[in-house]
Amino acid sequence: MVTRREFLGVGVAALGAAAVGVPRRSWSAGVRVVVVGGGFGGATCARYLRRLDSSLNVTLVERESTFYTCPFSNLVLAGLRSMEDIARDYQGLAEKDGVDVLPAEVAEIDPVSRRLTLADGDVIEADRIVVAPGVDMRWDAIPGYAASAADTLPHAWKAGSQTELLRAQLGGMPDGGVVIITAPGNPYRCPPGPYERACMIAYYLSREKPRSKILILDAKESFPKQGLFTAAWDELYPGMIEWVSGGAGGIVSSVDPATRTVFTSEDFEQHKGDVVNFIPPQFAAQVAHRADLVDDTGWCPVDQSTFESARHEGIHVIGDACLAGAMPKSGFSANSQAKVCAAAIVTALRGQDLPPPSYANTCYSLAGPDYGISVAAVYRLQGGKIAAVEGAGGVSPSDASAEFRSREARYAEGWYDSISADTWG
Amino acid sequence: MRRQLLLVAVTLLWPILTFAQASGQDLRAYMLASSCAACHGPDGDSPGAIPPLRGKSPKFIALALQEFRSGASDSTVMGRMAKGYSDEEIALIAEWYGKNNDGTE
Repeated sequence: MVTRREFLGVGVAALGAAAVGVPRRSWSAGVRVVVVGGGFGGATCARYLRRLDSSLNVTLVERESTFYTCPFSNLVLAGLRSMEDIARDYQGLAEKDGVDVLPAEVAEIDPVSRRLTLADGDVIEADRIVVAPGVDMRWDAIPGYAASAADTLPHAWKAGSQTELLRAQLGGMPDGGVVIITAPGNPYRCPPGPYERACMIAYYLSREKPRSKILILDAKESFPKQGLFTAAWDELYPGMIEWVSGGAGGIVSSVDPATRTVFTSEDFEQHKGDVVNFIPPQFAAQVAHRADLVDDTGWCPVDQSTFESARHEGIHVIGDACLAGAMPKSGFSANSQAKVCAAAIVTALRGQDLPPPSYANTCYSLAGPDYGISVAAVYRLQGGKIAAVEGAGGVSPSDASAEFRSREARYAEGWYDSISADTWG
Repeated sequence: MRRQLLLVAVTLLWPILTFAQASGQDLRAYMLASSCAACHGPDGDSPGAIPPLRGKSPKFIALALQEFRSGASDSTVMGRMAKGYSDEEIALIAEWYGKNNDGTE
């Protein structure tokens, strides 16, 4: 029986032989990089590794054949996009970029031997591994919100069936009902996400069920683009959205999925929702825990210039799962980190120096179909940490015209189209 | 004699050195310019509402970035982004995307 490992070995040997006589290429020929996870970070890294050095063997292991993007999934809730609109696949990576796309689930990663065991028992050996698994929910963080609770109180913080469930619940709720959104403490995936979600749900409700209310129970005292969001709520959905900060009683102490009741203030107060969108605390996805890449924060510490794990050589962690200094956990950040990481791997294999890393992020949020707001930053390495460049970046102006907001809404859509093409081809 | 040897050595090393430098400089430009693709599309080929960089000359791109940075040109987000880059970095970015310029600006 030829195992996948032996099969790969033959491929590597053949490529190695083909590279003889091409000394400029031989430094990386036959080298296999395995990327775990095909989201914004993993897919971008696989693509850019191949673009930087086409002699590299790049395998992308991803369990889903269709990836639903979290960005623009809030527009599905609003009825402004379909699930198909936010679906991506791996055909471009496989056919145009020459990435070996392996539809499989990674069971274990041995971070010392750099050997991956797939759920079906097959084994892959890698010279370098890029781990881009995203987040998992912390099912033990809030009493009552175990994995099964997500069937009744969707988090919809991974797009897909959870998005559809929340959409269906919004469709089924009565006019005059209450939608509760719980927002976790930092850090978590997509910091402005819960507040854009409130806007998009409000957009739907204001048209279909205008007597309804949205209650945001927040563990935090403030949130990104807060001034812009609250101004948009007042302007577009007056009286519909109420935000409760942590200090004002927004911290969730427990939840009862059966009655859709959220308890706050050490269980002294309770809020019953017709729909409860429960966004729990998160940490790096479980596969990173099993691979010993996570520290006691629940996230993966890395060298912030190369994204090589601080715990294991030759393993890189990018995207939401890693600790990347000042960068927020966003699809754009993951895409940006992936490009730096790809350059770091290629230069390391060649024995070259990595040029000073440069990273960027822009998070667009849609308050309404014609009302976009953004926060942007350029990042560099300062004292080993990723830090925002002073004097650059920041949020959209608070006094902008309707035309400006409309342009940012168009650019939000343009960004989505571009980053999709940049990530999945 | 020593001088001749040195000349031979320099001559032999020259292509290697320039390649290493060019490659390093290319990677530096890549590092700065690849961020732009998230909004402007792969290789600046924007499929949607954001203006493409493909087809623009290095001069056009550099001037646009400088004017966004100074505020001479109105923008939504580009003023905020351009402030994160030096003149030299802007030149590298402009050269990176401008290499696909088809001459029409």
